[in-house]
Order: sequence, then structure tokens, then C-alpha cells
Amino acid sequence: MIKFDQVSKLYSNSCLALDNINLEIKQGEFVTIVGKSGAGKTTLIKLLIREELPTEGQVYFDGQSVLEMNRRQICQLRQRIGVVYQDYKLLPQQTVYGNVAYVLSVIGASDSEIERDVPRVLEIVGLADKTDDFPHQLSGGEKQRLAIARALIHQPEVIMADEPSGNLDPYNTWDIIEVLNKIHQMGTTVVVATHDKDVIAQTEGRVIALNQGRIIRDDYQTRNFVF
Amino acid sequence: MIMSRLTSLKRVLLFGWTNFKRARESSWITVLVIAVVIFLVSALFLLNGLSQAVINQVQERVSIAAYFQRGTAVSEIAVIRDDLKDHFGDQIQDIKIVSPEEALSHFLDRYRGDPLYQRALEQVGENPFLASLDITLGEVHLYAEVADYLTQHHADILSKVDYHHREDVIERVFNTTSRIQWFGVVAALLLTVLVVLIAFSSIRVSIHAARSEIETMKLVGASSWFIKAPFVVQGMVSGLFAALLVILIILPASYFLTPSVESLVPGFNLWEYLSENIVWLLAIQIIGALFLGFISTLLAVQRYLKK
Repeated sequence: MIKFDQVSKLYSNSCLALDNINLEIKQGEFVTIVGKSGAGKTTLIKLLIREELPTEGQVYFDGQSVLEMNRRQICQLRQRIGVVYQDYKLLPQQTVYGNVAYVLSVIGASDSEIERDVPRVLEIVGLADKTDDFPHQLSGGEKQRLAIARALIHQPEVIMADEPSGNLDPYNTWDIIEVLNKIHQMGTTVVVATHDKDVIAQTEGRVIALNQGRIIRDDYQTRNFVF
Repeated sequence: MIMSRLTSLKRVLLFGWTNFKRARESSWITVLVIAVVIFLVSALFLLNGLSQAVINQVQERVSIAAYFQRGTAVSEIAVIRDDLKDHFGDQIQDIKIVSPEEALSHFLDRYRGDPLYQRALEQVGENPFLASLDITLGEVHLYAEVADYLTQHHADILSKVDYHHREDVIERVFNTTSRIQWFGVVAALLLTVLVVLIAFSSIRVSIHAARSEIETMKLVGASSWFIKAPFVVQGMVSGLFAALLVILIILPASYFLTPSVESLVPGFNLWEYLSENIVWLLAIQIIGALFLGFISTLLAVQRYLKK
């Protein structure tokens, strides 16, 4: 479903974020990408949704080169992938309800679908009583849960979460990972990028370790994963 | 398909309106900036009416007189008047016959109480004035043409045409008024361009503040149209409020200023001028404000969509 073929990314400040990455993620997998800060985890996500372009190599989604997509295809690609960003990337002028409903509006859902699905998802992430609040009125954990609600509202084929436990206490982290595990059990491909050992311990499935832009390990979950 | 387009349009309008309400501070700054532009354009519109009235009054005072030989009947002068009207048509703004008696009466009215002129008249003993045609024209070059026409075609009964004595004055008046008109047009254009640029910049600043929002919209897969249209609607709503604000200021201000303006420029009724041109003024204000809101937000958002 997702394929990185000999992908390298060199930023303008001569920082080599990714170095000849070959990686394939199959449909329905739960993949945890681990590594220290600056290992290249976020760059990997950015390349897949074409927020960044690789310096070398090709990125494929569902067999199609992401690099060769036109504007319309890029919009469609981003609609098929739900991303939970490290800095949340919420719409500050929209309420909790509005932030989630916006994604459904983008894919052209009807008003009745929006009215039916948004409250349900907000219930799942525990924000049912915050629908009229604005992002600046939420705590870090609530913002994170809102970002997850927004990423999964339109039932994308892939959910990618970049440091989903960032700035969260262990209790909230456990909550977030539980939600991601549930989404995975419903058949969605989940990719989590993290440097948090607690998160790794709570997830099942494949773990890919990155170090200085290279894959140093690609294995199935062991409880005491070291990177 | 049509239904989904309508739904999309409804959402864009709703997002635009919601954004306008929620971004209160920046929305009202945009409203005020557009209002300044529209106010200036409206004021220039009214000033144009005022300056035109002043120019017309000055030009109306410029005229030439064709004097006829003593004993020329008024009916003969009427024939010449009709001939001039036929020949020069609408270019003649005003033409009237002044009989010797009327000329004398005007003279007496003007120098009433001045014994020197009274005595001079008594010494002459009879009415010294000649019958004349007072002619006012719209263009300065026509005065020479009319004077030449009269001397060529009616020399038999013509005594003199006093154009050549007034030639310099007439040309100076027309040159000055035409220079004032040009200066007005150029100053208005420059000022309008300047304030439009200021409006563009301030709207660009408010869109710049929303750049991370635009970035997020792109990342969740929104199309360019779906991103920019609500901002454009927001800009147009700001424009509409700005036009409304200016109308609410201009109308009562014109009503209350009319007596003062009339005392400065007799014959120019500001409220009447406004009433006569209200459709144009409203069209300029509303269309101008909507267009300014539309184009400035479109260009500003486009900049961030390209990145």
C-alpha cells in the first residue's frame, strides 16, 4: 500500500533527514516507527502526503507515484490518509465540532452525514462535552484527541500519527494508543511515529527503527525494544 | 452533481460568514480599511460635482458680445441669433438679445449712486448703447470661430465683436478650469491607487496571519477553491459592511452640510446632487467595496496556496 523506494531527503541546510530508505507497508498493518528526535520519522510522513518532496527516490501510495500526482490527485491522496500532527494543526477559528466537520465538508459529505458522524467520533475520543469549545480552550491531551478525531472522521485508509504522546501524561498517552489500536482492529492501516518507549510497549505489530535517516531495524514487536 | 455543488457553495458562504464573525478584530480592521477607500472615492465623486458646478459658473460668466449698428431692429438681430443657433447648434450654451434700452437699464443699475457716470450720461443726452447679442459657448476655441463667422456673414449690420479685447481673459479662464479638472482627475487617481494599495497590504497582513490555517486546510486535502472561497467571501462581507458604513456616514453628512456648501458655492445643492446621482454613487460604493474585498483576499490567499 505504501512504498518508499530508495528515498533520500536532504534539506536545504545540508541536513540529511533520510538516507536511501526502502520500506513497504501493507494494508491493515500497525507500524510503529521509532527513533530519536531528528531520526527522520516526521520527514517520512511528510514525504508520503507530499508536504515535502524527496531529493532522490520514489514514494508510492496504492501503486501510484506520489511525486507524479497533480494537484487534484494530491488532494485526493491527503483525503485518503488521516494524519495526527505533532503540533496538532487544528483550525483556530473553528470549534471542536467545526474542526472535525471541516474534513467531512472537504470530501463532500452531506449535512446529515456530518450531523450523524461528528458527534459519534467526538464521543469515541471523549470530547462530546467540548463541541462548542475552540482549540485554544482545550488542554494538550484534548487537542491531541481532537486531532485524532479529525484524522479518523472520514474513515481514511491509513492513519499516521506523529508523536501522538508528545506533551501528554502517561494516562492520556494510554488513552490515545487505545484509540489507535481500536482503529487498527477495524481494518485501518496505522503508522505511529514516536520516540516514546511507553508508546512502543503499548502497541502491537511491526516496529521500524530509524537512526540518522537510515533504517537500522525492521522487526515485529518485542516488549523491550531498544533503539 | 448540482446538489453537491449547491451544498459546497452553501458551506463556502457559511464558512466565510463564520470566519468574518470569529476573526472579529481583523475583520473590522479590513472593514475600516475598505471603508476609507470607499469613503475617499465617494468624497471625490461629490467633489467632482462641486468642482464641476464651480467651473460651470466661472465659464458661464465668460461670454462675448456682438454689437450692432445703431438703428438695427431687434427682429434683424433675432434672425442672426437663429442663424448662429443653426450653425453652431448645441455648442452655444446661451445666447440672448440685449436691446439698447436693456443695456442702458443694466448700466444704470450697476452705477446707481455714482454721480460721475450719471453726469456722463446726461452730457451725452441720448441712450449711447447699441443693441447686442450676448453669447456663451462651451469651448474656448469656439469664441474665435463665432467672432469670425459674425464678421464674415453679418458685417453689414455688425458694429463690432468684443471677443478680441477679451481673448486673453477667456483663454486664461478656460485654461485654468481645464487645468483644475485635469489636476482633480490625476490627484483622484493617485489617491485612489494609494489607498487601494494600503487596503491590499492590510488585507494581505490579515491573510498572512491565517497562513498556518491555510496550510492545515491543504494538508487535510481541501481543494484550492474550497480553501480560498471562504476567505474571498469573508473579504466581500467586509466590503459590504464597509460600503454600508460609508453610506451611513455620507448620506446624513451631505444632508447637514448642504446649507454650508451652498453658501460657499451658490447654486450648488449638495443634497440635490447626491439625490440625482445616488444610483451611481451606491453602485460605485457597493461594487467597489465588493470588488476590493474580492480581489485583495483572492490575491493574498493565492500567494499561500502556491507555496
